[in-house]
Amino acid sequence: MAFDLTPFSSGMLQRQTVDAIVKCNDFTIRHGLILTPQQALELVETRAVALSENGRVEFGTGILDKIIREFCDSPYITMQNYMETLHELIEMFYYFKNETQDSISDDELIAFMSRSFDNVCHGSLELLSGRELPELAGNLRAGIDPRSIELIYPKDVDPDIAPNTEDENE
Amino acid sequence: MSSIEKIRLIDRSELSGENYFQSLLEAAYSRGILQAADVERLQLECIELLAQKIKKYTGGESSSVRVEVAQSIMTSNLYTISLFLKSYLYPDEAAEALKVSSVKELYEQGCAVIEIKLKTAKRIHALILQNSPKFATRAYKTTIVGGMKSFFKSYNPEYAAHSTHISADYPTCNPVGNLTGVEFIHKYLESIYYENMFCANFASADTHHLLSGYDNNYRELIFNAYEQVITTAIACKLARLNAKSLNLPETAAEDLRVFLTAQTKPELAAAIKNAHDELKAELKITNIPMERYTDRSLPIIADSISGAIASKTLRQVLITPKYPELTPKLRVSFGRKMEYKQYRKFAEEVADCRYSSDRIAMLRREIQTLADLENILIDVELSPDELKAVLSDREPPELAAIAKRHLYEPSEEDEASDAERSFRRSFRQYLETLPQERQNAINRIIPTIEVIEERS
Repeated sequence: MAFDLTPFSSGMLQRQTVDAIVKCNDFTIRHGLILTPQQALELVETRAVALSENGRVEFGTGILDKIIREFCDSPYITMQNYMETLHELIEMFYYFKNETQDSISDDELIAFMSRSFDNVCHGSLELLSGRELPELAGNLRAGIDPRSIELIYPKDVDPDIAPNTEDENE
Repeated sequence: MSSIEKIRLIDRSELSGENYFQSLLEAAYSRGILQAADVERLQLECIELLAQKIKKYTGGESSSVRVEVAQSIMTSNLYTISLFLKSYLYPDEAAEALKVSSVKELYEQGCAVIEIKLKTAKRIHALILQNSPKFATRAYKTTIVGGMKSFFKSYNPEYAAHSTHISADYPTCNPVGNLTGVEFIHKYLESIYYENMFCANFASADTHHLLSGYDNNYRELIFNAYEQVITTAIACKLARLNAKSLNLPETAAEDLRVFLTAQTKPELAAAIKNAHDELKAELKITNIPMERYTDRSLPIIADSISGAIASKTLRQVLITPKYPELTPKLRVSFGRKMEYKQYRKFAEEVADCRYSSDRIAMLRREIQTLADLENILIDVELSPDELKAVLSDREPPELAAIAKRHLYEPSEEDEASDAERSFRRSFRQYLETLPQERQNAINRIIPTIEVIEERS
């Protein structure tokens, strides 16, 4: 009798995740960004594919709502590119979670992605995935402490306080 | 009135030892003890438990993990639950427990079982170490001393309860198959404990002589010593001899070979069983668990004898003792070493030599003792042809002495340098290129060699 490791094949858990994403609209609407339940479902499907392609499994609602909350105030994201950007960020996130060998937390990776996207990449996903994230992965594999990386922990942030997207945004 | 026994729906033998929970679930579902809804609930609860464990594993910092990590933690959880379910006398009762208990409850009970098994295994290990047999082989020491300590140090019941970490190189007579993790280690140590307890009925010297009859170099071999001891003890009883001294004389062994060859398989099994009963009486064995262990060894011994009869190799099963201490010793002196400064200068000259022929001539001319030869062969890497030329006029006892020291009896905590390892490889290759007759001569001498060191 098999024990499936893909909990999101369960309809109930998928619905929970979609609800959590749609709930983010309450927060993102002030930045002019909104997702329909259908779009939320598409993001959940993108996540399932990204997880499978990168040989990972996830439990709970995962990182989708965290990515939405972290990126929604970016000056480079509008309703026109919102969905497309989210799909790419989700794929990027799981790929670089492996590349960084799980040496940084979800919050740290998302914070780095967001700050790089808004600053050094000037809204370019190509620069983010082709330059900044590979460099981060290389540095972490070389043993550099994530606390010394300014795009994760800006100088004015106490490194003992882990990046927390919700706290920063609320 | 005869007793009425409840009809059991699930037979324990059809369940997997390694994947007990999963096989029990399947059997209980197919027999109607569990319904589809029960199975679905248990599967969902297993996923919930996995999610909780992964959250703990990542310290809540990552919501996803690699599939291999999740798979390993899931296997560990299922293993832990299986240990608890195995504690039920009958699988039907375990299946009923699945119906009424949550996965979390089953898991917690499993953790308690692991804790008890781990404590007991440590206790048995301590007892085994206290009474280590004097005839212990290298594989025994590596597994029982080093291997087990490493297991207890690295065993992780939280996330890898199913993992054994070590390979138990020293085999037990009764196989400890189909088990993993602490369950395997517990069973393995228990087996070793009973084997040692049985062997303790015989004098260490007698066992050593018997095992020397098995092979002169038995300490370096990977085999089960208890199996040789009990087989010989049973053989003594079959030959109507006293078993206590483990001495089966050649004449008695010959008569026994004739007797055993004439037996059918059932007759052989019956004869071995009778001999075992007589052996227990002679040794006054009263320890019931140990008796059960030796009982379980009997079919293995019978198979081994049957196999030996079929392959006409009974001589290898019915061993007669040998007394290595009575074998004449060949004492080989490694001689005096060169004075240190002189040696360094010489080694540098040899290493710097431009032509191979000069190097060979220099080595032949200047090297006077085996000690210097050994040093220079380690310090200066020679080509196979140079090694062959330098060693060609050495006598078999000299080569045997070097072989004994470097290939057969390296020290227990041998921490050979790279240069030593390289020399050993080259030397072994050189020996293999020698004519068979010369190789045989060297091999015959090796066990009789006694190396004498002289101070420089």
